[in-house]
Amino acid sequence: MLNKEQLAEVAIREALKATGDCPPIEELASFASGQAQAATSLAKHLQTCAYCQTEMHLLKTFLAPETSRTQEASQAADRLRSRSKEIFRQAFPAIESTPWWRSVFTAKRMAQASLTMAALLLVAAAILFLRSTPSRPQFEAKNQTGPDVLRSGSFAVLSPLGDLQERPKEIVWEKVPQAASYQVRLLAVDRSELWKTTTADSRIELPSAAREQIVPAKTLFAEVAAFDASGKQVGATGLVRFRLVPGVPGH
Amino acid sequence: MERFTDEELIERCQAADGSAAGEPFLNVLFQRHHGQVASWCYHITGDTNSAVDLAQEVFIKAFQGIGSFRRGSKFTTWLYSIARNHCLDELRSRKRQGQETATLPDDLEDWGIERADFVIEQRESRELMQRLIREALDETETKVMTLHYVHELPLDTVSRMLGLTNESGAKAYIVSARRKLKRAHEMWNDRTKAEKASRHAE
Repeated sequence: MLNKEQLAEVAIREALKATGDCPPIEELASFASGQAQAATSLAKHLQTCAYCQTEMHLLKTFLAPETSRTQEASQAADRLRSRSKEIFRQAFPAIESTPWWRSVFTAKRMAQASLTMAALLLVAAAILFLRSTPSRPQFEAKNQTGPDVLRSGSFAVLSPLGDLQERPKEIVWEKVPQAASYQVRLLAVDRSELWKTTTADSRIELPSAAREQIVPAKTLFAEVAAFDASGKQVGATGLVRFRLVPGVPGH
Repeated sequence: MERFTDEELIERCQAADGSAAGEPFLNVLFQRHHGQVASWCYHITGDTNSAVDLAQEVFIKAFQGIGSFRRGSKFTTWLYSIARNHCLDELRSRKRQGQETATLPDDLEDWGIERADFVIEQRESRELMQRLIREALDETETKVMTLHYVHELPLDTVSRMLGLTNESGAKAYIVSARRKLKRAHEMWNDRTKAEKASRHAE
């Protein structure tokens, strides 16, 4: 049995709780940014609803500009930024790559490393032998080609992406500065290759053979790999999913 | 990639279907919003260590649930919902574990509320209390009461969240609000009794 004080608290709690008239947070956010379509009715509700007034206060605190942050809050932000790798590692353990130092010490790697070392020693010995012969031409560092092109990692496919209302006519991706050519592939969900081509441009028009593969409700993947003039891969987009939504007229 | 909106970045990330290709997009989102989340978590907890831990958990939850982000939604609102729910859950849990530092006075005031008022006629009772709250309390008192009674947040957290700088913070507002509500309820009772008596006399 509740005493009167507890009963009063129950009554207060009930009175302050969200009701069926309370708008979803998206509407409050739109209202906070002055974009709500039904602004008048929402403003009226806000005037009388304690729950929504409090929600609005919390939301506005979250959306407050960076300049209003205290020094401690900025310190928290800096410390959080330094944990970004940890956050990604915890969020996506499956796509985490094995640290290089760990993979170095596997038996297979050690065997490969031994062979590589032996090969390097042989090459070094051969170079020393050639250098010691005066009649042979000298190797000069300045005769080597330009700077090493490093693998730049990921770049993005710009379209097609996600659920599509129309069958795409082309594949477009971000230009990679050092790329001389791109290999473009269209894959099924089982990763079987449906279509492949190479181009120097950062877009490719899909031929009818490729477009025919894009049917409603069928998930497909696009993948683009960038190569430099020497044919070395300098980046890749990874698999990018897209799908023509079912029930689109004309498909 | 900086030219993309938050929502465009998510669309591209969703298209990567959980593969590593989505990570650069999420990284941009993290760089854009980590300050906002960390700052808000600090605002709620008042402690840098807790704020960083909570903000980290918020981003892990957000990234793991990125596939559920609905087209047409706004990323900052979605991220806020995750941060809000996660932080409030954590603070409630701490309160239940007895980490609350401030407590209310144990004054069993006679509110003059009969059990039948809100058990048998719960709806009427709620509407009456809503009216009394609107009429008797100011905006800060209302927010303090909502955060404490509905969200079950500790008083020191409520004080921090609302930036209350008075000596006893949220506690003073709750004591004052309860007194005001009690008075308003008594007045309502007197008025109702008088009306009943007048009707009876007629």
